Amino acid sequence: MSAVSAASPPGPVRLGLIGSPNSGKTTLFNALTGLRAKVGNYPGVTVERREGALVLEGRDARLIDLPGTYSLDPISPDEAVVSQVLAGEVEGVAPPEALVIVADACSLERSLLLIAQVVAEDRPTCLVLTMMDELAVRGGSLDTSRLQDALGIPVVPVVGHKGLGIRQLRVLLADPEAWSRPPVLPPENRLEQSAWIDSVMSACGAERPDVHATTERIDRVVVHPILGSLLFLAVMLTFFQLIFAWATPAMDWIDGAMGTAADFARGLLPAGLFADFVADGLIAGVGSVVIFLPQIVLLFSLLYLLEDVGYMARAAFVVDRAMARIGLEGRAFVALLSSFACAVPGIMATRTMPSPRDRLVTILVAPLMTCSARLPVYALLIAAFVPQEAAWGPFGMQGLVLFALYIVAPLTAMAVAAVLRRSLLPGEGMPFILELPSYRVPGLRLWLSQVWGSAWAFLRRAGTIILLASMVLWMLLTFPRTEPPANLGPEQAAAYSLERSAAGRVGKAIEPAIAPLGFDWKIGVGLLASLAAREVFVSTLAQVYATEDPDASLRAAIRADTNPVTGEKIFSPATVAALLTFFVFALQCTSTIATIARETNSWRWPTFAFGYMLALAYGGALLARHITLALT
Amino acid sequence: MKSDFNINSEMTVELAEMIPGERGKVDQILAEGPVGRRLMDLGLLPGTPIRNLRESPLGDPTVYELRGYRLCLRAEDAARVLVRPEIRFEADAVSDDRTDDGSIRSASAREGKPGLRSIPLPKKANVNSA
Ligand SMILES: Nc1nc2c(ncn2[C@@H]2O[C@H](COP(=O)(O)OP(=O)(O)OP(=O)(O)O)[C@@H](O)[C@H]2O)c(=O)[nH]1
Ligand SMILES: [Mg+2]
Repeated sequence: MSAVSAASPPGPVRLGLIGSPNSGKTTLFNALTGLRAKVGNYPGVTVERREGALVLEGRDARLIDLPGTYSLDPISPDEAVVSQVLAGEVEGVAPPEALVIVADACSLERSLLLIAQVVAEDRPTCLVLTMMDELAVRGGSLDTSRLQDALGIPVVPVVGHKGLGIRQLRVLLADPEAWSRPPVLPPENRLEQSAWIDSVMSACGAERPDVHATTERIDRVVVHPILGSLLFLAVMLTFFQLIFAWATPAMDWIDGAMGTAADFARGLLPAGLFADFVADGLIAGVGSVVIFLPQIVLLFSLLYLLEDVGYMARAAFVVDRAMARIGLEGRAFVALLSSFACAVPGIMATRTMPSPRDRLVTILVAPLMTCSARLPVYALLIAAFVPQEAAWGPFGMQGLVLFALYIVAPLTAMAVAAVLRRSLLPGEGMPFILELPSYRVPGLRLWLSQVWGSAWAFLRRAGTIILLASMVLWMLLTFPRTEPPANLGPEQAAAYSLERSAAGRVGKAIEPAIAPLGFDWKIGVGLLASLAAREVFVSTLAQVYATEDPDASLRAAIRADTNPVTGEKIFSPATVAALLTFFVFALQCTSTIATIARETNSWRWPTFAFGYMLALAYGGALLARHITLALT
Repeated sequence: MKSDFNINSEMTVELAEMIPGERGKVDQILAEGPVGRRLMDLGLLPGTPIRNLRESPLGDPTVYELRGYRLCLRAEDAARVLVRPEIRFEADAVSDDRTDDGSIRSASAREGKPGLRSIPLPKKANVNSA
């Protein structure tokens, strides 16, 4: 084994964080490196190796954050990452020279099993005990210096999220060569380990903690069949109301600011192609997406709150039975829940699932969940076509429609999963194991920084993918330039040129395929462009309509647009219903496709996912159109 | 002063048969291979005190408390662990697990089987070991 010799190796010393899921490894990683890796109060947040540089007492070091594991004998892909990194099997990644075990002080009795395995690795090892605050609250106690003697390795108690004990930890980590080694290794046989654990626990005078009383009290309501469901519904309904009620003023403000920016740019630049490019191409395109920032912020605030409090694992616990019925496990549900933010982390989260077959099924249905990129499209269409005053009892109609769109997706995902699960090969069963963490009051700083991180990611996307797509689309919508006949008014002239641009021609070419759904060529261009990312649909429509009439807001423009031949509204109720349905199902996201390809190691599965979702989207849209036509 | 008097019965039952509130000690892991190893990695070793905390609203899975944490297992997996349930007489009843007549409900009582583990107590029983 790679024991460190007396002469310390050149380069930064590599320290690996190892511990059970949710023991606070990433919190420590962030506290020590100043980075902002994802933290959350459920087991299985970290599923990849992540490294960070730090300086300890003047010495360069690299800290390696790893997924949580209960044992060095892995049963799932995320646990396998740990054993591979330890064994130095990851190409280009040197194994850690010293190991930092991170154990929740409350469940030390269980963690000692992992500690026994890690100590046997024969590398310098120390133990960090987290959650010392919770141990005290639960009426437990232990003597860390006696634990240190019993184990023969250094032990440091910390309260990770408050930064208590981090200074002492830095001093210790600076010099792994000096760490004491256990005089005898713990036994390897499980039964002997059990006795060893008892002896260690009594040697350090451990007082076993009670169950967390607050958690028990909250669980009595949250996991209650009736109270729990009512509470859940109430939170969700309120949330979707807020998305419109609270976000609209902020959106109007951003909308106004974008209009001003466009006017300002036009005033500054000499009239002509370049001014059009900046005002109609860039500002209208990117601005139409940035408008939805308030909604994105609200959505992520709720998701992170649920996650940090400790609700996610409960959700998995409650729905596991229903998931079992379709052949999946509760853990799949956590992955699907995270897909409400974005399918990419959702797909990554399936790494915690032991069964390869269950994992594949979950990966294939994750893109059906209502990710945040759909929100701008939904919000645009709902704000434009569902009257703001309409209400059903105390609930505004706009919020209810959005709520409906959000729940159709997971229901479909369940149905698809049930079908896939039956048709894919039956796999071997591993037990469904899930640890339910204590409820914790989320730190305001952590919560805000996570929300800010997601808001920033959204803005960055607007500044990169969407900006780029806007530029390309502006060109395609502008060239080749065709001079309109002189007898047309300015609006018709613009429409004439638009239809004959490169994008216009492509849109016209696919129009027959989408005509059954009630979509015209402009929507067609938007749909094609949205293959890059869903929000691009909004920015493309914004550009198309800005070319025709630079002054109208996008909402007003799509409301007013009519078919030049029939004189009917393009966005009729049937078309809007079909369009919304299309977006519920279609896989218009290059990053999701790339992630599926990477995680399944093949192009077969992303192709399959794209295909079945397109079929669902087309079929669903057709159905939605005809139902709406029949009803109106 | 959590309990005043308790006996660990000689009888073993499957972990899945324990009812909410009931306590016991792990006796044996029936599962073999990777599944058995994983259950042991989770701390289910012979002699480990374990308690059924509550069932999921739909009846399955169940959360157990052991070694300072909450573990949720499906009945099919909990059936592969044998436990020795504790017969428990409590003076200051926490009484999640006590029925109105003062007897202690148990898995066998739930299934209508008269059994060692269902022991009716007089109304104000105060059994002290000391
Ligand atoms: N009370 C308390 N909470 C803590 C402490 N350290 C971390 N937490 C919280 O515990 C939860 C889990 O922390 P993480 O750092 O994500 O744990 P992890 O070990 O990286 O978890 P995985 O990546 O899922 O394996 C978060 O909600 C943290 O805020 C601590 O010392 N005390
Ligand atoms: Mg982590």
